[in-house]
Amino acid sequence: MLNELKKNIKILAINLKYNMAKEMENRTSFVSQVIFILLNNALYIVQWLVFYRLKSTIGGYSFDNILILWALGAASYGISHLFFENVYYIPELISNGKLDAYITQPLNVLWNVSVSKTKPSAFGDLLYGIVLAIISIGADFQKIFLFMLFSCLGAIILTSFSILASSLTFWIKRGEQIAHNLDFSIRIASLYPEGIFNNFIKVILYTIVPTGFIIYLPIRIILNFNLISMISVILFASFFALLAFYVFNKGLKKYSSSNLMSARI
Amino acid sequence: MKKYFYIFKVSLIEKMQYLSNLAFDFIFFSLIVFILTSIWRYIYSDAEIINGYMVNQIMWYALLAEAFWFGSRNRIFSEEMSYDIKSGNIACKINKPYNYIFFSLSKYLGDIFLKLVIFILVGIILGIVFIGSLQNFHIKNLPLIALVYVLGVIIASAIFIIISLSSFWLEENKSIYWVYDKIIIMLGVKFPLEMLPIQLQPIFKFTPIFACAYGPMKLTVDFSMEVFYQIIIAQSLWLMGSIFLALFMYKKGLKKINANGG
Repeated sequence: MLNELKKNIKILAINLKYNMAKEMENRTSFVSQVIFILLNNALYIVQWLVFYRLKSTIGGYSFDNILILWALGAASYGISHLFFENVYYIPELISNGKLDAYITQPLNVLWNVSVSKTKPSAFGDLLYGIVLAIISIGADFQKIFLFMLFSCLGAIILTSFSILASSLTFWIKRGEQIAHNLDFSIRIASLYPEGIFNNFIKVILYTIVPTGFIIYLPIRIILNFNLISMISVILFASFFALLAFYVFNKGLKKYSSSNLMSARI
Repeated sequence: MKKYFYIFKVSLIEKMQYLSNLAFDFIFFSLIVFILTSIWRYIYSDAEIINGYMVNQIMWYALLAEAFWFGSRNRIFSEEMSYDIKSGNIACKINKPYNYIFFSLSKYLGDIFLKLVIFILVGIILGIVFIGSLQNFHIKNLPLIALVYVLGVIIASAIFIIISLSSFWLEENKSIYWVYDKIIIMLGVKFPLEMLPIQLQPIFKFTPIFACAYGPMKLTVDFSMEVFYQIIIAQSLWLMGSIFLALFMYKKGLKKINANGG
């Protein structure tokens, strides 16, 4: 079990190293993408500056709380896309029969697929999240530690959610569009405070589209530490990751190759 | 002119083949509309009028602006045109009996026409369901409002063409799209210019936000002839300026082409 874990972490590290080396080949393009993603994310804050000119608290969140919300959202998104970018391409890999290249290797299929691609601009999202967290939280080491922990757990939930949504493609025709819409939904919902939604939507945000465990509950814990809530986020992330592995492996039995000849470069 | 209309028609017919794909876009659009109406309802929970807008007007503004901006997006400018220039494919298009700029514009308008109309119609239905009917709207103003919408789309396209043409000089220009798109969304789509600090408002009247996003929406939710004249003047200037700049950049850019044979 421990050896298996070590092996998978090694695969992740090797893939990340070579993927980043590939992206860094054109250093100007990489740096410009990171800068523009920082600028792109910063523009969203303008929207909140305007909203907070009109009302001092929105959905129970102050402006500083919104900055933490954005920091968590950006960092989780950044980690997920930096390490597991290929997860977001699984629907196309399934529908085009391109999983063959991964199945034939002596590695865990889902892990092998997930770590084989990286998104350079996600580095900008991660950097943006960290900078925003330092601005909004300050030099409180306990809160910064919690922020880092929840960013990693958020990335696990986000990635697992995408695997579950992508796995629909094993059973449903044109599942790609449903999967992409579900990915958009979780991202959009995580950009706004939960207090603006009614109770019915809140239930959805803690179950079907689990933004509550990526953003809302972690913010409450960062601001007012609660051990039980923290354990519940850890358990939820672990459960969601296991569920993603289980559903993907179930779906994999339904997968049929298209005999497509392709090369992974 | 006839040939550009033909290109528009072909692009429109081609798009009609894939109409069912739009169904999935509406799920995402409905979610955005729901969130926007939720947030504005919350902000207006203890106020009737903010900066001259009632809650009904502001929600309709945001909804129609989202429909307008999302409905007029496609990949022709953000990907195809830049790819044509970077890959050298443009060499096969500049020797045809049309101007490449107007060809791309006609193709784009044909591609988005149906999508935009359907987005606006779906937006109206969602608006009636989530918000209720738009107050102070008079059907007699519709032709003037429609004119401003059409000009808004053409100006937005011309600016996208300018960004695409930057591929003649820049290797990576996708980031410029992101930032430009976000600026319009954050400052012209989510809320009207009146919500910005009063000192900044006059500056934004000289930007594309006023001509492409704010203008058409403002006239829909709060029509007046005075505002109509202001917007139509701004749109005429932006239209001429952006088309002129696009043609100028195209002429300059063509001299930089190094097409491979084969």
